[in-house]
Amino acid sequence: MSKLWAERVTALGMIAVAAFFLVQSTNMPGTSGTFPLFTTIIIIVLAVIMIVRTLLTHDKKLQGDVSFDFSYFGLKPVYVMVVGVLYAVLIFQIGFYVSSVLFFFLVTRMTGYANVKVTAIVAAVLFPLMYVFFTIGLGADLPSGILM
Amino acid sequence: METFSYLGDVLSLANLGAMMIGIVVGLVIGAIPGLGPPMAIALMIPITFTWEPQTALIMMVATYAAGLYGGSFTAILLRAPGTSASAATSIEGFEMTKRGKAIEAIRMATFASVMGGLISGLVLLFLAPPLAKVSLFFGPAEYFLVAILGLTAIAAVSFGALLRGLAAGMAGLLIATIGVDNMTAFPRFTYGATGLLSGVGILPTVIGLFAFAQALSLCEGSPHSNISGKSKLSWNIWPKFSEIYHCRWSLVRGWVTGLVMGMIPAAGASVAQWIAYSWEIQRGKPGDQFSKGEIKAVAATEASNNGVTGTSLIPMFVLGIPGGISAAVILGALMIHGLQPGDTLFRKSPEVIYTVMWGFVLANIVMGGVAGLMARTLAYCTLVPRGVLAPVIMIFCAVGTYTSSGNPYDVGIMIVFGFIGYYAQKYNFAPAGILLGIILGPIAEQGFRNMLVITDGNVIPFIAGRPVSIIIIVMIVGALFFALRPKKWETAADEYATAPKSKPDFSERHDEYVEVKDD
Repeated sequence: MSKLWAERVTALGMIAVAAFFLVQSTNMPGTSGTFPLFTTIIIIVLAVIMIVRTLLTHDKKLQGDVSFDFSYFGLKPVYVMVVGVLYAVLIFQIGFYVSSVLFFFLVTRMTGYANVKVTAIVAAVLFPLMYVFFTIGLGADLPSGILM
Repeated sequence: METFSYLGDVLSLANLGAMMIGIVVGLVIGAIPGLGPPMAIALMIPITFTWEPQTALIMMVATYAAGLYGGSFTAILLRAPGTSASAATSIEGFEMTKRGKAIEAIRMATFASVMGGLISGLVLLFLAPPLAKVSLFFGPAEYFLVAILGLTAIAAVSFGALLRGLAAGMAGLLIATIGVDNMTAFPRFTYGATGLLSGVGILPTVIGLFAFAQALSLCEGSPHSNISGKSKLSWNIWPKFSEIYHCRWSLVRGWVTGLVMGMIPAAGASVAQWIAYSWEIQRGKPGDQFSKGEIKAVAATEASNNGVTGTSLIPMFVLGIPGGISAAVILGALMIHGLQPGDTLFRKSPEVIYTVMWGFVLANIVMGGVAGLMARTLAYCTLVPRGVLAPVIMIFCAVGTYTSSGNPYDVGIMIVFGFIGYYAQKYNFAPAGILLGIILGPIAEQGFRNMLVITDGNVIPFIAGRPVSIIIIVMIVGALFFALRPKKWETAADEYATAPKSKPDFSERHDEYVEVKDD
């Protein structure tokens, strides 16, 4: 996709999202909706300027194509993000420490880091230290879940 | 002269010991994303309950000063700001780390912070009662205008993508409206989720936008390489005169910003850093490398956030108005020890208040040594392979977010903002703009709506009759003018990019400068 069209699609997306919140802002009681209304209108104005700019200017920044990498390496942060969401759920189900250990080993592997010895040493040092600092030192009430 | 008579009281073993503990705890807790000075100070209240009030308060103010600086360690080394007050430092500081100049960034940050805290402490010590009156000039109109002044920084941090930066800032302002409206108690954009009723906190957003997003970025590229691309680090942690001289005006601008913003309740270090950063970008000279690791920006942001520390205590000690969360917690501790802030505190308990103020000044000096060594030790994390570092940062993001609020929703919010931050960074939507909007949104909205109520809608005559408002408006106009006009350093960089190679290479000149300092 060309950068010009990418800019237009982005601006249209901004208008759609802002319009969604704008409609809700108008239905708020009293002055509750004033500030959200103001911000959504500005976002729409900015998006319109972005579209107009793509039609009028010859800005070098808008020339060329946008490249998307859909290979595993390109999408690695997205996969890690998905695992991160699962981790955020799991810490409340099976406990912070157990899920953190699992998350640590899984993400290390996902990134492609292959040295298991180093990974194990880091885990063996990190998690007991975290336990001493957060649970014993700060008395933090970390999620315990069904395990720990 | 009465002030000096209490200097000796600070030097008792108990006070010095408490100060040392406060510094170490502040630096450690400040360095962990999510755990900021308010939490550390709150944890100290039950421990210090039976202590002498001055000893307890010295520990707390030392924690406050050190905690704000501690946030810069991880901001510079990992782009994971420990506190929201270090977010601006993380932009330029981490870029320096990526170029293998982490130690230079750290030593400049240490100098700027220590001197900022020291100057701020001296202002607190000698000028507290007269300066406290400045806080009284700030009403809803001024809060609103200060927030607008802060928002002008978006133009500076957009780095050439102004429309996207402004859109990001507006998105931040919109996000800041999520939660129960303070005036009408109407839940805005919560969609029945109880965790959103209290709104989107600054902490989960700053951790998500910067730290978690950075961890996602680390997942790209070779997992065996490290951030800095170096295998060895220098132990030269003390700044050199040439470095300080190079950044002298940046430091001054940062300290001035911090001192002034500290006196404005609710503004604080989180706002001061952005104003200082924006000011620095506007004053940039050909050869400066803003957004690519500019040491002047690190100097200015760190000078400003620690410049806030002393002056933010002024309204708290003299008027009983806490300027921020940390000051509010210290105020609570003050009252637990049977002390009432205000004029009576200075008249009836001068031995407590002046000893604490001297303790604050001394804590900033001692902090320099401890912080330098600690930051240098922490710098080893830049040698850790990215594949190992990424999950460690993510785990600390989760634990820090949860520990700070105890709200499971905040962990989810942090991860969502991590995703937003990662893509915002990738497609030039200025995550800093989103954060600025979230920080300043509640101040701007509250100020604006209070002003509407007070003036019954006649806002303009009200503002026109307030001299402080007019001064701030002039500052906003000036900031916008300087933000929108072409900057010398940007023009020079553009000219170099399009010109034949006979033109001077400013980026190389900058690197040479830093290299010379190392020798």
